[in-house]
Amino acid sequence: MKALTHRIWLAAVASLWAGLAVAGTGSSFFNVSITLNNPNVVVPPSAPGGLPAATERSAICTNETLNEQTNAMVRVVCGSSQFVSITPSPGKPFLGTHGGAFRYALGTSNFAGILSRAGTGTVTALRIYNATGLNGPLEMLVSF
Amino acid sequence: MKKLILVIALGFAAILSVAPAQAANDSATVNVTINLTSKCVFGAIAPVAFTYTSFQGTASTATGGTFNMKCTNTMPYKIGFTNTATPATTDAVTDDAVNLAYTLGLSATTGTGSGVDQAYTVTGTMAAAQAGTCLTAACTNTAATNKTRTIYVVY
Repeated sequence: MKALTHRIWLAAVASLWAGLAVAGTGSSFFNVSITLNNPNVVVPPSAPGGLPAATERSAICTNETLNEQTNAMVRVVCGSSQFVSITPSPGKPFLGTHGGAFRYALGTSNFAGILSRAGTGTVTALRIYNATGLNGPLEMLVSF
Repeated sequence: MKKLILVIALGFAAILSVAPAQAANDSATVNVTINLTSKCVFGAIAPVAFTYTSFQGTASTATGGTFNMKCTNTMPYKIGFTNTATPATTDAVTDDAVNLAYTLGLSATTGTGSGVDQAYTVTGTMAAAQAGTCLTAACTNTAATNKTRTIYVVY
């Protein structure tokens, strides 16, 4: 019984001490600014179609999963900001999609597509369809 | 001459008649009670700034982050990133605009009030080999929703 009373007394003292230990609080805010540089970005010269010309360079690049799924978004990140060349290869399977405000963007071949958003070193979306109206298999080749 | 002597005599009489009125004095004491509420006040915190290049080989160290703390004399206090009795001493964040992870810390996490400004710094490190997200040659995290961080003092 004495031990129990002692423990209760200790707990009461501890809780009182804990209450006294934090007499007040205050806070303040600050901002964290980040500047992310890609110093090796090279803007390739424009091709006749208005698109940047494909330039092949060696570098370490990574891409997310879901590359070959319908409606998947493919993101390619390169270490030295290469332009990513995307060209079709006839006779190979390609799990692309149809529809959208396409414009001719792939030269004089039978393939057309839209470069939804392109910047130096980055191609964020590209849809390709067979301009001849055939549903033959296509392949999108990404080289960088 | 008689008149002059009379005037002088009357003057002394007047002085003597006043003196007995000042003979009684009294005093009392009064206590002054002061209730001092302890407090800590933050000074302005300079922005913490990182400059980073994708895949860079070494960690990046932030600049800025200096601030002053002024607390009641002799009062101990703690500084950190959570509003708890023992505040967190680090703050791990992944910026939601440029997708770079960084960790914030403090030059010191405890102190004792001195009644005057005491200088501290929010430190920051960004690990090497991060890609980040940027569509152009350079990006900033201006659009980030988690770029504003909070620091707490507990006393």
